[in-house]
Amino acid sequence: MTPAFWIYSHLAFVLLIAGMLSLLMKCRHRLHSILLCLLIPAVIGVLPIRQTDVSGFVLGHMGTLSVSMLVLLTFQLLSACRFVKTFSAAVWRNMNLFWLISGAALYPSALGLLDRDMYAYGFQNTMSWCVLGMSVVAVVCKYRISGLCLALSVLAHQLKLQESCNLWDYIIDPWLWIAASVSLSAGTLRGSFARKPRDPRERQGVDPPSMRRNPPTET
Amino acid sequence: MTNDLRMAAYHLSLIRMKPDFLSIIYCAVVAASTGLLLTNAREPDDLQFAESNLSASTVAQAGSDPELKFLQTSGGPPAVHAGTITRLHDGRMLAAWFAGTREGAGDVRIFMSSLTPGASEWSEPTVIATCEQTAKDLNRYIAKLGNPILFADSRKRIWLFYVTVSMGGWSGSSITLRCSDDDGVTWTAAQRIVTSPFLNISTLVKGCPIECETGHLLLPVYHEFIRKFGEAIVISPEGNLTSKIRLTAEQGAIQPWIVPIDRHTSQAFYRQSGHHQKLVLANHLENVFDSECGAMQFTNIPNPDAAIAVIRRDNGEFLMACNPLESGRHKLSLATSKDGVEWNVIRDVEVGDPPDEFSYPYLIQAARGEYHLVYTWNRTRMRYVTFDEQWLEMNP
Repeated sequence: MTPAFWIYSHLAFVLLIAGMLSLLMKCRHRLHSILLCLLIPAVIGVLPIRQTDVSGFVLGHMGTLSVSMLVLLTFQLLSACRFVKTFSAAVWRNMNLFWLISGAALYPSALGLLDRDMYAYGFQNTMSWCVLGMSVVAVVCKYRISGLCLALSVLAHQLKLQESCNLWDYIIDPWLWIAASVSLSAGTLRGSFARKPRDPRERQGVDPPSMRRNPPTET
Repeated sequence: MTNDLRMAAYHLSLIRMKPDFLSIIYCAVVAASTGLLLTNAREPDDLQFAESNLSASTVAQAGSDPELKFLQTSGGPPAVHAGTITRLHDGRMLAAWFAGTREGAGDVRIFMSSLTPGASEWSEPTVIATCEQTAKDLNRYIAKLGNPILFADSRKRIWLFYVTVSMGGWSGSSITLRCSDDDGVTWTAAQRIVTSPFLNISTLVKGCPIECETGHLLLPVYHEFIRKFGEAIVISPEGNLTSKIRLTAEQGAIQPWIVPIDRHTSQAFYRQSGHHQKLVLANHLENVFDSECGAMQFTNIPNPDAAIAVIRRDNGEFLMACNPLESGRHKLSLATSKDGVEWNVIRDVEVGDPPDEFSYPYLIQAARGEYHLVYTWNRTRMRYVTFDEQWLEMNP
């Protein structure tokens, strides 16, 4: 195992637990919050267990997290500790849709349910150029975090920060796919049970004045 | 005009982005990625099988009857399985297998033994991989290991592939690699080969690797989770996975053996697992490196869901070690075929009665006309047989 991958896998564990802790922990000072959220998993992660340490044990069962997951966990941590604003609902929905479609194309084909194996394309340099192009498009369309996820995935793949030589493993992992699916399903269910709009302009698909003043934008 | 250009640039480019912290990071990442992509950009090598796969370089001494030996002395671990063998550049034979209290137990280790030319016995087995050492190298929990494959390449490097499982059964396996540049005295740290996006589970190995002209290895592997099918992966001389090829989408065609016919063409043979017809499966690979894989065919050799091993003889015929039964593994035979579909059993290596088991053969041709076979003997010992072309040609 390379030192780069050791750092990567420990960082993944720390961010995963810190992301969860940030939802539970509310300190008065935001700096205290983030330090506490990072310090606890950093210490737990290096404790020995079975043949390895806690972070190795957890990731041995979970698999390595993708770069996109790490970026989103960082963003979740920063927004929970009030360092950055959270995404608007529309941005969340579209980002989740992207991860859902990517996973739906990748996982069934890799498991042999489709004739063509999409995973095999991840070894080719052409895919890296395509993903880099997609990241630029995402940024132009104001999905800056999504664009950053894709660009960082290409960079990490070129630097071989994970054990994998396949770009797909840097872009998406099954946990990100599951999280996106659950989030989208929950959003769809919430939407179907939500109240009908009272404002006649909302019924006609026109944004009410309050929406026009604060359009949904990504931070 | 200038205004029009500025407006076009405004709509098409990143000018709309505010030059804040995130934008600066993004631009730096894109610039670094582009730089690395341009630096690392290299057209994939035109892969083809090395000449050494097509004809053996040395000629074997003519012998007579085959030699049968056990690979390890009695008194070792009670459960033994999955033998593999390779020939070193100095003529020594190197074999490996896994052994422990039972298959899949946490105490299973991979053992290695060698046979010097002219020696009558194999050397005392040494341990070359354990769960603890692999877990330490990979920084992850390893519950069990198995299926070792040894291969000595033309650059005097020995490759050891084996499967490791962190949770669940064998379908949760992933492939691990260790290398040795001093004939097996010392080994590199274990390295995980990521072959699947789904938690990297369910890629197993059984067949013999094939060396390419560029030093790449083509390793036949198979997938077992949800669907069972054969695949192959290409490993660079540095040990990185460079591509993955699906040999067949046929359900139940596992444990492929790829046999080169010429520089690009090859034939693959499979153990059938869960197929309605209990026969060995085969398909023609016009160019495996370009994923040009033909349709699956049934051969006429029965297969009781048991491993096979296939090589090509100097006369162009295929030679297969298999259990030619519809159930049970109490008979291990050698069969030959001209086309890979119609086979004739020419020799029986072991014949017993149920519940005897002579299984998991691993067959190589070390020199021209010299064949080496290892297999599991009643799950308690590993057996080694060497024979030559003359013995194959003789009437039984």
